[in-house]
Amino acid sequence: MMAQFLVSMVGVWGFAVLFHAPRRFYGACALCGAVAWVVYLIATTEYQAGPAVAALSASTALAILSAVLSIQLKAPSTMFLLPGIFPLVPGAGIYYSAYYMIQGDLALAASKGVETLLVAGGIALGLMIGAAFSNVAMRVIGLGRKRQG
Amino acid sequence: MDSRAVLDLAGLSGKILLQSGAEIYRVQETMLRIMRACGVEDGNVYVVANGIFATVHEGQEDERSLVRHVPLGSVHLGYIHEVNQISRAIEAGTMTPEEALRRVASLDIPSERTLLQVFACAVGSGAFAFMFGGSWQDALAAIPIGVLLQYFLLFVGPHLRRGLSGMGGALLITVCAELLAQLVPVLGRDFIVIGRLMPLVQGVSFTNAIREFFNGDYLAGITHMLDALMGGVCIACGVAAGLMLAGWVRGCFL
Repeated sequence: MMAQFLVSMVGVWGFAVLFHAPRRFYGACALCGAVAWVVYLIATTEYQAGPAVAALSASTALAILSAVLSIQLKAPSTMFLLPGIFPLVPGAGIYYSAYYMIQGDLALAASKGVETLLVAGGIALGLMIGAAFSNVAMRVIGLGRKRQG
Repeated sequence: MDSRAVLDLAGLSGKILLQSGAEIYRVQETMLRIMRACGVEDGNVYVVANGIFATVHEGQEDERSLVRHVPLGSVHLGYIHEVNQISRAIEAGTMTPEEALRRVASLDIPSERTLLQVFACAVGSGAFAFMFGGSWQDALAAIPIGVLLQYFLLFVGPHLRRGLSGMGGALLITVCAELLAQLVPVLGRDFIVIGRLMPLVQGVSFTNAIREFFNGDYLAGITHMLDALMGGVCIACGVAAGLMLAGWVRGCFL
């Protein structure tokens, strides 16, 4: 798990660089992505969650963490969300759908395609839940949620 | 500051934000904030995924309007941060609008050196190959392909249509990974390709689409969602074509 955490930090750091994030935010971006990935792993291995549910919990955690970081570091939450989402994006699903299509196994291709869409939906729902939760939480704590514009 | 200059400043800031991958509400809020800070209370801003419309002082002597077409661009978090800082500074009064206009107009953050970008792409996607179940050999094997991919994206990509560069990139890495896996049997082609695909996937469009829906900007959400879907389909086509091509090459030479 520790190795996965560190490796995913490296992977997300790569995206922070490719997206031209300012250098001092590299660490925070990498942390966000790594946390999301570890939540995803724990959900799939410890709780036997399906990929869509795991993606949902991971993206919820990601959305909350980037809202907190955006206030702490005074930067738009986009800064942490965009690189951090990458471990969750279903790139593998796209690949396997295409692969099985070529193999002529349409049933498997369709099932992979549907799974990809489900994961996408899970990420969507998770981001919404996380954003809504952190909005409410900030208001309750009294930070007034001055939206980081 | 006269209404022309205020609109210039707000429009330019909005354009930079939108192009760099900011969400609609952020663009609208920033533009309105800048206008208010410059003393314009009756500003009107309408932003869609690839365009900005704005008016100030409507119905008065010095009314002005602005229309900007902003093609879907590539993500640049540095610009988003910088414009955000400047707009906050105007609001707080620590920067005059004239100074801000100068700053925004000459905003130019040098990209990281090509070498660092190539390194980030190579190492980053190697890490992804490992995360998605590949062995460390797979991760290592992914690195040279990543170097190739990033050079392709940097030097060929800008000349291609949106989507086509994703297709070309996917084709390139699939063929390379397949051939590499043929030469070195311990390697798992699947993991190399998946790790490598990550820089091509339209993760940003997808994420932003969801956030636009959440904020009620359905028009922009749909535009981004279609962009992401198109990107995904293009990548899948590239992978499929790459697999076929690699099979054909193998049939001929191996």
